[in-house]
Amino acid sequence: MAAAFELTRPEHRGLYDVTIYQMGFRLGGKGASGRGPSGRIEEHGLHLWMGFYENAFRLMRSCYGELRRNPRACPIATFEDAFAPAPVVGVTDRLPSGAWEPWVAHFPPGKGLPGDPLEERNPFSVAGYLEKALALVPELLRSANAGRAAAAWPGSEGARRAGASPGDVLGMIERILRYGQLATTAAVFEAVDLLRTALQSLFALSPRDSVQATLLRLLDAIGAVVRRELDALVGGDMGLRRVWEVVELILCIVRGSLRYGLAFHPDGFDAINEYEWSDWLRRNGASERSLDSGFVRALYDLAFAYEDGDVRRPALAAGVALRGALRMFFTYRGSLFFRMQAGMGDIVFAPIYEVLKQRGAHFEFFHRLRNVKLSPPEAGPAHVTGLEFDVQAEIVGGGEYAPLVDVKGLPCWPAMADYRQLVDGERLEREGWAFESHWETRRAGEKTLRVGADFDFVVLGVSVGAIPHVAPELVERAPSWRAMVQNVKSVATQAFQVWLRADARELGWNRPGPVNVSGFVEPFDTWADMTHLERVECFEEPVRSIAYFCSVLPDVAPENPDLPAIARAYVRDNVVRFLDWDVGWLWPAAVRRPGEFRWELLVDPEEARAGAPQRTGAARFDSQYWTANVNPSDRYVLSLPGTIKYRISPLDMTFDNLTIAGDWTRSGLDTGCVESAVMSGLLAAHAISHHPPLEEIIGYDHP
Amino acid sequence: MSQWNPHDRPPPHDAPVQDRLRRDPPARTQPIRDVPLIFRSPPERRPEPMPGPNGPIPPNGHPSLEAGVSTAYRVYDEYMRRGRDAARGFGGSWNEAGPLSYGDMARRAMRYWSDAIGMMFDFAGPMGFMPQHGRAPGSPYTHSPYGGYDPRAAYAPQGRYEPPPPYGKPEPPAPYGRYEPPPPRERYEPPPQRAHAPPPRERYEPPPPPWATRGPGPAAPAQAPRPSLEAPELGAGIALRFDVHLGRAAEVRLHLGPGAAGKHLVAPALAALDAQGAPPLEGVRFSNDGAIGLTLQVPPEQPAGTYSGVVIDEASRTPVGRVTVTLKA
Repeated sequence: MAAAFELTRPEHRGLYDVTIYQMGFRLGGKGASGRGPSGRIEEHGLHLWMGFYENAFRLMRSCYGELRRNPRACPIATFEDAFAPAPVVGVTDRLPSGAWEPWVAHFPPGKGLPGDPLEERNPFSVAGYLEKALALVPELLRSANAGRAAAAWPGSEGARRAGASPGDVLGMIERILRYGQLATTAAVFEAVDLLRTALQSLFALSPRDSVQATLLRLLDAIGAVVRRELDALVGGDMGLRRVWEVVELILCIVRGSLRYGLAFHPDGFDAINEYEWSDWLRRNGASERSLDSGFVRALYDLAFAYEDGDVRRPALAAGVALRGALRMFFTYRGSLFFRMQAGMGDIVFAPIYEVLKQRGAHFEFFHRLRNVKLSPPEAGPAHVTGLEFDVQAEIVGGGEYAPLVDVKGLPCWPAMADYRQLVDGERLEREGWAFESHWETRRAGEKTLRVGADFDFVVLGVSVGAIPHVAPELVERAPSWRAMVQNVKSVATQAFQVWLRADARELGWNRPGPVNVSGFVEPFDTWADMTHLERVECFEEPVRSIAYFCSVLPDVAPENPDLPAIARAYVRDNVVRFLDWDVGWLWPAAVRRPGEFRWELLVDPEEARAGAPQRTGAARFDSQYWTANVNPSDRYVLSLPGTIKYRISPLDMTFDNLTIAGDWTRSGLDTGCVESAVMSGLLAAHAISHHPPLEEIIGYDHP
Repeated sequence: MSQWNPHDRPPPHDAPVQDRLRRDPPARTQPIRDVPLIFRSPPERRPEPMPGPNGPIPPNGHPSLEAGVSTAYRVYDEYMRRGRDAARGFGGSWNEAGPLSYGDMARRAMRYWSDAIGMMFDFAGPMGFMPQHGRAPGSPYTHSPYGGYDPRAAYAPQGRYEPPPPYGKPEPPAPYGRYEPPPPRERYEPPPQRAHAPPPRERYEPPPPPWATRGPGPAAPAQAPRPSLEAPELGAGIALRFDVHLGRAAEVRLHLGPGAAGKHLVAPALAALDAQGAPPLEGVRFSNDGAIGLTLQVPPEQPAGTYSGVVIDEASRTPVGRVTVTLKA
C-alpha cells in the first residue's frame, strides 16, 4: 500500500497507472481488520504503533491530509482523531512464589509527534544512544533508592565536568577503581557519571585502547555492585529488583557496544546479528536473572520472537533487537505507543484505499495470485513476463467491487465479503467459499496478465510465507531467493478479543490504565486494554471494557486444508484454559476461584437481541472473537540470528521489472512491524521511480 | 547528470510490447550502517537560486557544496590509501584481513572529520549557504502542511544529487566466532503437536493479594534528558575572535556547525593524533560575548604534532564542532 501511495502521488502526474490485485475482499494482509456482529472490530491480532514509526506516521498524516474528511460527518476525520497516545506500559514478572506480578510505568511524552519534520537530518548515532541510556541509570538508581533511608545522593556533576579533560576524567576513574569495589551507592553514582563523561570523550576524542580498557574495568566495577544488589534482593523487593535488572541490562549494552566496536563498525549493529540477543547480553555480563526479567521477555513477546512458535526457543538477532530497543526507548516522539481509535483496517487501509481511488488507482479484489512467470533463462536479463491469477469471484455487472461499509459514519471493512455484489453470490455464501484461506481452491475463472500489454512493473507485496506458493519460479531461478525462503522464517500467531460487562477496575486491575502488558504467562503473553473502541462499535448492551490478547502459535498440524479448523479449535481451548486459570493474575475479580472464570462477564451480541441468555459457562466464549493466523500470508516474519543477511532488499535488481514490499524484506529496520512494511514500500517505490530519495526514508541509514 | 524528471519517460502503455520497460538500477541497494559513512550520505538538496529582480543570479565562480563534499571524500580516501600503504610498508596492524584497532579507526575518523568538515565549511561559507538547523531548504519535509513528506518539494526544480566517487571502505573486522545457540529457557511448556490434548500446565494458585498491601510500582523510568532543541538563529553568521598564546609556529583550525551560534561552548583537552605518548593539549577556552572567542595557551614543552578535540555546547552536551591544532617542531 505504501508503494502504491508513493507511485500515485499527484506529482507523478499519472505516470504510473497502478492496479492492486488483492485476494479476497479486503486490503491489509495480516494488518486487515473487519467489522463483525454488532459492528465489533475483529483484528488478526493486537496492533499498537510505536512512537518511532516515523515513516508510517508520515504516510498516514499525508493520507488523512489528502482525504479531507468532514469532521461533522465522520467520527475519525483527521490523523489526530485516528491515533491516541498510549503511554501506560507494563511488563510482568514471575515471583519466586510462582505468582505473576505486573510492573506498570508511565512513559513521559516525547517532544513533537512522529512524522514531524526531524530537527536533525540523521539523529541516530551509537554515542548518542549510549549517552541517553547512561543518563537513565542515575534516574533509575534514584528511584531504587527512593524507599531507603539514606543520605542525600549527590546530583549529577556532569556540568562541573563539562570542561574537564579526558585526563582528569580518567584520573578520577582510576581513583574510584583503586578502592577495589564501589562500596557505597554514592560511589556508584560517581562512577556512572564518570562513565558518561568518559564516553563522550571516548567517542569524540582519543579512544586509545588503554582508555577503553579503563572504561571496561569501570563497567565491571559498576556491574559488580549491580550483581551484589540483585543477589541481596532474591525473594525481596520486586520493584527494587526490576530497577537493578534494567541498570544491569543498560550496562551490558554499553559494555557490548564498546567491546564489539559498534560505534565505528562498518556494519553498525548488523555486526552482531549472528548472535542471539540474550546470548549477546549474557556474553556482556547479563545475569540469568536479568535475562529472564519481564523487560527482556517483553521484547521477545513484542516481536513474536519464538522459533516455530515454541516459547522454549526465544530467538532474536542481537543487532536487530538492539537497534529496535534503542529506537523504541530513545527516539520515540509523542508517546512510546499509540492506539488506533478503530480497527487497523478502518484507520489505515480504508483511508489509503479512498485516497488511492481518488487518485485513479484500480482495485481488483478476489484475485488470488497463482504464479509469477519468468522469462526463459536464455532470453537475457531475468524478468517477469506474466502474472497468473485465479479469479475467485466475478463482480455483478462487471464493475469494480465496493468493499467498504459504513459503521457509525466511519468507512470500514466488513469481516465477510458482500455476496450481493458477487455473481451467484447466494450460492457462494451458502457453500461457504473462504476467499482468504490459502487452502480454498474454488474459483470463478482464471486471468493471466502479460508484460508490456497489461503491466510493466510488478510490486510483489505478499508475505514471505506465501512466496513459495505464489512465486515458485522466482525461488527456483534465483539462489538469493532460494536462500531467503529457506532462512527467513515466519511464525503463526493466535489472538482473542473479549467484550466485558465490567471495567478494568471492576475486574480487579488496580494499576494505572489503559495499559498494554507483555511478558505475561503463555499462551497469551500480551494484553491490551482496548476499551476506547467501544464508541465506534454498535453493541446493544453496554460494553464496559474490551481486552485484546495475543501470542505466537506453535505449528499444531501439517500445512493442509484441515489446518485452519484444527488450529482454531486449539486456540479456543487455549483461551478457555487461560481465562480459567491465568487471567486471575491480572484480573483477580474476574474469577471465582482458580479454574473458574466468571463467564457471565462476557457480552454476547445475540443475547440482547434475543432478550434471554443464549449460552452458559465456557460456551459463552463462542460469542467472542478469536483467530488462529495460520495462512502463509498471515504468518509473522521472524528476525532470527544469522538470517538477516538472507533478506532481499526491494532495491535488489535480480529481476529488472519486479520489486518486493513487506516487513520481511531488507527494509533497514528488519523486524516485523508496520514501520518496516512502510519503509519497504517506500524502497519499492524508489526501486521503480527513484523516489522518494533513500535519504528521506527515516532510519534507513542507521548504525 | 541531468535533473531527474519523471515525465522524461514515455507513458508505460504507449511502449511497444517488445520494448518492455526495465527498472533503472538504484544508486545503492543497502542501507548505510557505518557511522562515518552515514554522515557522508548525500547532502540535502538545495533549491536553485531564485532569480533576483534583475534576472538570474550569475554564477559566482565558487564550487558547489556537493563538489566540496566530494573533494572531502577524496581526501578521506587518500588518508585511507596512505594509511594502508604505510601499514603494509611497516608491517603494521592494518592488513587486508585483520581488524582495525579501535584507536586507528577513531583517529582516521577524526582526521576525516577534521578535513571533511573543514572543506564543507570552506566551500559553503563563501557561497552564503549553510545547512539550516532542521530540514534544508527545499527538503520535501519542510513544506507539508501535515509535517510529513511533501513530494512537491521533491520534484521542485533543483539539482539532482551526484553520487560521490567510489570510496574506500574500511575492511571489516574478523568474524566474532561461531554463534552458539542459547540454552532453552524455563518457560511455558507448549502442548504436543496435537490439537485438543494439551499437557497439564503450571497452575494458577489463589492469588495472595499481591497488590492489596502495596502501592503502585516503582517510579517510572525517567526519560533521558533531551538535548536542547532550541532553534538557532537561522542564517545568522558566527563571529569569531582568536586569542592565541604561542611561542612557536602553529596552525589552528576551528570548524563550527550552525548549532554553535549563540551557545556557550567548551572544549575538553585536545588529544594527540600523531604524537605518541604526548599529553593532551589543554588550555583551550571559549568565550561568548556576541562573538565567539577562542583562547589557546600552549605550554612550551608541548610536543610537536596535531591535536584535535570536539567542541561541545555546554547546555545540551552535544558536539557542535571541532578544533584542531598542529604544533610545529
